[in-house]
Amino acid sequence: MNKMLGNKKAIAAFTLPVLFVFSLIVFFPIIQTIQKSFYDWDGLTKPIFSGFKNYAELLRDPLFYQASKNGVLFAIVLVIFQIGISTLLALALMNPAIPFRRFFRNAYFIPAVLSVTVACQLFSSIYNPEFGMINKLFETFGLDWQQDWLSDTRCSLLAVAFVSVWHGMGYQFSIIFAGLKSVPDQYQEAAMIDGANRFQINTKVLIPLIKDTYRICLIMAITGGINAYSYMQILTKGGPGTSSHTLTYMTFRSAFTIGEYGYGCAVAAMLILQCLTATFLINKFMRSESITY
Amino acid sequence: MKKLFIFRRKKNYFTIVLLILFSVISIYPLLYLLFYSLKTNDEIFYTNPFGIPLAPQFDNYRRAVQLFDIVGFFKNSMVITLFSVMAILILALPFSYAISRMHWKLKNTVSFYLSLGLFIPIQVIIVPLSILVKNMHISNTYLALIIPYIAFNLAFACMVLSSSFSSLPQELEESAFIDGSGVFRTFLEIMIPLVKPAISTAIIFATMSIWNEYTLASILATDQKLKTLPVGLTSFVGEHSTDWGAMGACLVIASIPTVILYLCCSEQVEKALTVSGAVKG
Amino acid sequence: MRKRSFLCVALTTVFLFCLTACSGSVQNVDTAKVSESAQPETAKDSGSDEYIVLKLYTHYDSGDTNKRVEYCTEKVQEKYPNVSFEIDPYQQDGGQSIKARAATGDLPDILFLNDGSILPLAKSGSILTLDDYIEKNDYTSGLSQSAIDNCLYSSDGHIYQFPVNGVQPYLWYYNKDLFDQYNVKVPENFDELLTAIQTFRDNDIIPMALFAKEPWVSGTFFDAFAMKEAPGGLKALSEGTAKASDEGYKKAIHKMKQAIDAGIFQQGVTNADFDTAFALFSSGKAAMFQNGGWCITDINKQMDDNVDYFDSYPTNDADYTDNNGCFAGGGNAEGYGVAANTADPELAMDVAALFAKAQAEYDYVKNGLVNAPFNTENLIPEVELPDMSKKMGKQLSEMKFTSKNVEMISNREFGTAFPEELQKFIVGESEEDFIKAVDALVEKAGGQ
Repeated sequence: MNKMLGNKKAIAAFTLPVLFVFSLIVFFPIIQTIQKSFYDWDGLTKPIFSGFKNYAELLRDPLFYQASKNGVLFAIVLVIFQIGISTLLALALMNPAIPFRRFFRNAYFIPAVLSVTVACQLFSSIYNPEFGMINKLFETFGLDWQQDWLSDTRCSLLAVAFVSVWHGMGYQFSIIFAGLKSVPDQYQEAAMIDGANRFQINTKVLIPLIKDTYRICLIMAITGGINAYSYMQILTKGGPGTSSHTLTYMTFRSAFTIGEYGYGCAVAAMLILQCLTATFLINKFMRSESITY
Repeated sequence: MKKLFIFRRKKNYFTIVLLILFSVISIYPLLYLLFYSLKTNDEIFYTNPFGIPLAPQFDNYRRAVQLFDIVGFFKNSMVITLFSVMAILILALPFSYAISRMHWKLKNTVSFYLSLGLFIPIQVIIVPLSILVKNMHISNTYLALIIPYIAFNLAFACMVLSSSFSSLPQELEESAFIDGSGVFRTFLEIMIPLVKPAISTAIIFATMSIWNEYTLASILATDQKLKTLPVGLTSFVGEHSTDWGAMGACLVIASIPTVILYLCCSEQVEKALTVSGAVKG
Repeated sequence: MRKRSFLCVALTTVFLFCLTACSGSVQNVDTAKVSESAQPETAKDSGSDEYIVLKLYTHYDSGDTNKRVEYCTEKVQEKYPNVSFEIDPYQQDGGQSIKARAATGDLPDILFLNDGSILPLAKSGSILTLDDYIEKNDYTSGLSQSAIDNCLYSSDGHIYQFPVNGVQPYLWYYNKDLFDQYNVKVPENFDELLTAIQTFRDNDIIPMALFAKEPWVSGTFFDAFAMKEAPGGLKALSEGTAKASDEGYKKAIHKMKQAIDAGIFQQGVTNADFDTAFALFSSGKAAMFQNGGWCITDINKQMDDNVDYFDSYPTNDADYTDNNGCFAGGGNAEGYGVAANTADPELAMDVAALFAKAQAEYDYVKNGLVNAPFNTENLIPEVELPDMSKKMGKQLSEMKFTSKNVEMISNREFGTAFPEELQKFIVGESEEDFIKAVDALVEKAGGQ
């Protein structure tokens, strides 16, 4: 069997097309971007080599640290809430005694079907300090505390992050649910026979068995958080001030708004580095021997 | 008898409330979208943002469809999405199989290499990419969008598919080889059908991502006759103010295919899951 | 399962059928209408008989602008009947798509440029200089002096676009009815403004609706205060010739802080876009509104004659009116330019010039926008000019424009970072921190 599965020709035939397309369209431009980060360039005229100047400036730039911090914060919010809530919902829906399961499953995916523009438009209204749903809800409960969600430097990023949580939850939910469903029943049955209660079955049997699924979800959530862009672009334009900037937004700002394309490439290179590190770490800690059923 | 034992669980009312709450949170926005496609600008922002439209403005739909070539945008989006997704599957399935089941040294490195595609934000490489597209002489054709879309969505599709392949038992291939089938046949006739849920997942995700994609489409397809739906939508953002009602109508029209596709595909996922469970059991 | 997939397929078919039926009868409106008028009546002096299609990047949406484009196209076809346009709608994406297209040499033949985007395109040779054309055709004889001084030349001394707008001020509009209703004196200095703010707040009216999501808006607000003490406003800061800690600026910043603390803006101001803020003003929830002179027609349509604008911003000390003639805004080099990759530069330039002139004409005649760059003596507006327009028309020649719209400043680093600092200030940063931050910015980026 090893001979069959080690068939070099087959392997080449299977993998080369993908590698070719990917390298040409994704990898090659990334290399060009990293290369340009060593130049002083406005995107259109001739680039001038400037060595590590862009990186030195980057490390001194307080915006870089703020954007990185925001990215990490965003990622943490996504992991805790998106994956957390999706897991709870998926586990709850495993119970066949619940009516209308098909309906719930489809419902949870609907937000993912809508485009980012709609999601942001909706939440823009919800967060509105004077007529928005959230503050109105507080009023009806008699709470005096009204928050200016998107216009407060302290919480603008979190407010944007929650929009992303809501929007992407459908994806995480369907992946986790599909993963849970594909675990054969005998594992649960065995645990039940051994006397485990529902909670123990969930936490000690089901979740560990879909570790690989979680690996995918974590990678999606963390990298999605670090390079978030479209949500803050539409909701707050990075504001107020720069409090909801992320690295991608900073890249865009440097490259297109200010016209310092080389600097923008340096930011992009740091962004890629952060994401790669995160992916590497996740893979290292979560990729144990393949779990087969 | 065994099945009954595990499945006889009580209805947990708290759980049901929670589930209903989340489904409201999830579905209300679709309703919100429908409502706002039938409201005036004032109503949307100020007088009645959350409720049922007071005087449905079907005119918004008329404007959306007449003023711009919505059908053309729709057609472009469909063609591009269809071809991209098909190509993604054709390329990703063999690749994922090789990554997860075949034996070769560089497996993990290559898989890590591909994961670069998961998180590259498009803004970062848009300029080198557009120069590349121009040099390949495919500017302003469908290919200018299809090929980049394939490349960007390969990483996720491969990740989902390879994870699914990994979870299949080794015995399958052993028995196939013992029966005398070669690698290609095993792959085509045995392995692929077993990962149908993952294929559905990959199809759904790739379609959503490509259908709603804006940045690349706005820069690489500048000819009017090639524009896709998301790009067409921005036509409603005017010089000084925006016709939100008509944009809403357009968004509704744009969202309908994705909803239909999801409803159809999720059916497949459900069926395939129960089938494969029986096979494995 | 079968029933379900049948339902899906049926739904999809019905939906597609409806869509096609709906728009099939209307056809592609834009290309149809534009090309049907491209039938040549007589061969004019265009020099060639083939149909020429030029790509045109301009504002084109479901509002008024598509009619404007039709009008301009007709005017162009009076001279060049074989020319028609393929329209590329303008995108508000921070110049990203235009820049990317410039990098690949794929710019539209004629494109709408605004001041902030011109210089990088010019430097890389992506757009053509129009100096020769302007001189050869004596283009400037039709322009008003203020347009020639302010709207024609870019900061490197060359001309890259045919202007469509003349100089215009940013105004503080106010709702006369609201002021009457609450017995508020129309303020003429800062103390009276503070009183007005206080009174409106006491009565649950938002004193001023502002859409500070867009950077230039907060910049203009800053200028409205700063120019009274230091006419250079934010432009001088960007050029490095002034600091925020200078006496005049410090005073202005202090006044801004007082106004902000008194609650001059609506909540969520840095998140409000134009539609939201304008809705507040036009529905009577806000007493004042800041925007350019172009807004007069729209305001009038919604609110009739109930609106006027302050003759000068009420941000000065009561006894100091020296700089009351200073207004934020002014002229910007924005209009139609020509891409270097166009097939026939001579033709494109001429067409662009005609188009720009036609657009300015349309704005004046159909919308009553009195700030056209061209001499308008021979044109009669088709709409009744609102009182405010007449007032502005008369006042224009006395207004002094010594600063600039922050998004149009050529120093892009300052132009991007300064509004960000301003946003922080508006949502509650202290004066000292703001002044320190701006000084640091001037230090780092001033004078570029």
